[in-house]
Amino acid sequence: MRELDEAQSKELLKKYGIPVPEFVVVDNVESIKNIEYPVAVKVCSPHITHKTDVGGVILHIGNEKELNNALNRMKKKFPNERILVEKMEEHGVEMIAGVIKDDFFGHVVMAGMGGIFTEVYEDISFRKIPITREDAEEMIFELKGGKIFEKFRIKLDKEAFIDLLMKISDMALKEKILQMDLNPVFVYENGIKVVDAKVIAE
Amino acid sequence: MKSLFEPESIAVIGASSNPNKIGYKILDNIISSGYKGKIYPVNNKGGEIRDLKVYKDIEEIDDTVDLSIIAIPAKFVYDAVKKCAEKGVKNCIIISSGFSEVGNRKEEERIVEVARKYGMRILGPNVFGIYVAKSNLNATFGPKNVHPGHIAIITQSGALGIAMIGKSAIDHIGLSAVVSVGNKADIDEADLLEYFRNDENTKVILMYIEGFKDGERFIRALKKLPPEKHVVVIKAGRSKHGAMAAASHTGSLAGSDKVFDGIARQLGIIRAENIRDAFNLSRFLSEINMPDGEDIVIITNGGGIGVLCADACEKYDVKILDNYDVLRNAFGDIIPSFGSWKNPVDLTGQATAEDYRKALERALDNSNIHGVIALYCETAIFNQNDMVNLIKEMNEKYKNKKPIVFSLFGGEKIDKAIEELKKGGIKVFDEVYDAVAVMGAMYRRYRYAKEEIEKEELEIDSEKEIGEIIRNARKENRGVLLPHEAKRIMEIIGVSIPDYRIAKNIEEAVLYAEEIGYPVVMKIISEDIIHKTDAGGVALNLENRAEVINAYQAIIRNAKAYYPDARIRGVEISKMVPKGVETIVGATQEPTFGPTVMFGLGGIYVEAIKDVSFRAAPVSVREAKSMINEISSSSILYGIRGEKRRDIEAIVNVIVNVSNLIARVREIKDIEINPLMVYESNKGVKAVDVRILLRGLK
Repeated sequence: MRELDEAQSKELLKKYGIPVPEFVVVDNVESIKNIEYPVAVKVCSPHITHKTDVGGVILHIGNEKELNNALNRMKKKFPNERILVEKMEEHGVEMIAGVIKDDFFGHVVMAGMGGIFTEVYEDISFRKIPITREDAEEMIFELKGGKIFEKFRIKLDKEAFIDLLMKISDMALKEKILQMDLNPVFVYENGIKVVDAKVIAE
Repeated sequence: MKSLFEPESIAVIGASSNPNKIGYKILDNIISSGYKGKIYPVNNKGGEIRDLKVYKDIEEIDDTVDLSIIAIPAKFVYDAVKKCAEKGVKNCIIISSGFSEVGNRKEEERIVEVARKYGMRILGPNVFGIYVAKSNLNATFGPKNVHPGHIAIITQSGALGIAMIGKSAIDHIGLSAVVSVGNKADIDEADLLEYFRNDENTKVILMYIEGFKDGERFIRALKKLPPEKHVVVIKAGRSKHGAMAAASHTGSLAGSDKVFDGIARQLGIIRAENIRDAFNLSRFLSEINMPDGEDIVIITNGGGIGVLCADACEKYDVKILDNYDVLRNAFGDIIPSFGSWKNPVDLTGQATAEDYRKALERALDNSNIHGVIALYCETAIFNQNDMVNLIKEMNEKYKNKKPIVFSLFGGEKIDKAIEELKKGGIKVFDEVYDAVAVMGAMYRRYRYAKEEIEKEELEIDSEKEIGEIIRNARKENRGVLLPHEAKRIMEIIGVSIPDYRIAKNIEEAVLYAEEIGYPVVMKIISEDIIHKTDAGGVALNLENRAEVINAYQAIIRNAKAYYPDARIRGVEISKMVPKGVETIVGATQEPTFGPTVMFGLGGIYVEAIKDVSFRAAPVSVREAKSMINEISSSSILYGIRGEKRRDIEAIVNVIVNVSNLIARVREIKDIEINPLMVYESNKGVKAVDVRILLRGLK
């Protein structure tokens, strides 16, 4: 079993043309060139599942000086882990997507509303892979919150989210994925961004 | 209303000797139902029908007439009504159609007007008549055979009403009355509830409603019903298409569906989704007495159906007894070792009628058990006669003591058993969910009846000042209150708002920001600028003097650039509040039901799935709490993911106060607090943004 850290997971997503924020894995500030502020600094380890809970995330870093401080603090706290510096993306509507290999049904792809509501409403839908565009469309339609894609005051890029579901459905077998969590996925008027990702492969 | 239901004399205007005419059918039904009062057929042709003298004109009748029934073409109705009114007839049922339901509103209004002048009440037009069991009166053109009983049906749809009478007969359901209300030009559900409230014959009122004309009166009438009377409502127009069909159908608005759901909860009435459920519920509720408590036992011969039943109990909010001492004592010694005395009590597939008898008696004789749901799956050892006899016997013995429902499931023999038991008036179902649903309906009313009456209406201190604020806005021809006016009203009704001042110049801005304490928020105040953010009229999170000065200049500059002629009243400086859970409290003068209050969580997702609750205003503390608990996302307020519980009491306080405001100050059309920031327990709430709209102005 291969547990990918966040950077590896995002590299894999990039390979399939899935949009992720710009990021670098670094040791010190000098090695960073041309990053756009504000940035976030995150500990990058396959073994840390809840980064925020262990103080492994620092957000809203506005300049080089602050970044240096943040990196030093992070290295002190997690001396054996890699550190990820990532451009902070504009906040979108939070959704989630993923793949699991179910013992019984095999690979299934999942879509849902993100944020605190995932837990409260359990507003998620599943399909067995491979899925068609119609399947992906239905998955969104089945969500109680899926209405935000239709006739709502904010226009959202449903096609881009459908593309994402199609792509991860395609990845599931090719990459022998056991589990993939994309949470959150920011959905915008134009396009989407996968802000956090975790992949476990066979 | 009494003279409508218990008339001593009836005139049938448009009586006919042609058996295919409505004027004949009604007369025939009145005669054959055994009505004991006097009957006066009226038709300008005169003569005799069914041995009764036909009067050419109502004026010719040399007697008082309590009720006249008019079945003549629409264009002659007005004159007939006028003559009835002049004669002093107390009630008039207009069977004829061709009025507001087809757009002929004027004629209908004219008819009501003349009736009112003489104090005569009108039922209809566009109705099929009335049936009253205790008066032996079937003054409808519907079926003849109506079983007398304890359910009163009020229906807005004629065809559906006649069909319901027919269906009730074959389902062995007894009726106390049937009233068709049609266009509700005068008499509506609220008037009829007045009568049924005191009618001992009626235990359940079953209503089919498409739209309300005066929802507030309806609510008041429901509140006056004694708690032991049940109300079951089939409210059509749940779907968008349904609502449109209903609105065009009877010429009244379908009302806001979600609001009605909230009001049904508030008043302890049952909303049935379809006619089958409505009949099941009404029949059950009309035949049982209120239980002594909520501890229910499920007795079954199959594990699977027992589990299904337990699921249904959760769905319909029926409490399953889980006290093991009580259960072991009651059933421990009569259950085979491979069964279970735990609830559901599983007698196993080997159970005979005799085993059932023992278990039922144990349950029904036990004072800690308040009701029983008995399930039976057909097995190889099933004996139809034994089972039917046992159920009949148990039902006879216990039906007045405790609620019992039966659910039998299986093949042909079971179906026959169910049919036979139903004829005997036993509460038996094939579907276990149906059996549990009727229990759930009973418990909704039970809990409502047990609620202590809580105070809903509150006095508002300085209500005068609110009036002045509104008058002032009207004087300036404004339909929207300015932010500081809305905030002042919040202060008056006791809703906490962030500290704020209004600055007219830079010096004041700095002074006030320092008085309030940083960080502050600044917003332009102008009735001409509605989208303040778009106009660059908002600055957030200002942390010092320099930032306040810059922001003030920028806001004024932006506002003038955005709208050069805007009336600028100053800049609001308010405390930047910390982030909490964002909620929304709203209130509105709902077109159908009058003042209503709403609660929900903030955010676009919640808005999309409409996870909000409504009640008719004003609401009590208990009702406000139940509004909060009713939304699916309420767990966020009780603390999930390790977060602390939020100050729910403070939200309750806001809901109660806002509901009183909308109920007392009818000039206010709409109130929205969005967001109402909610902090941890005992740390209160803050109404960050408040919008108040007035009636009749843009």
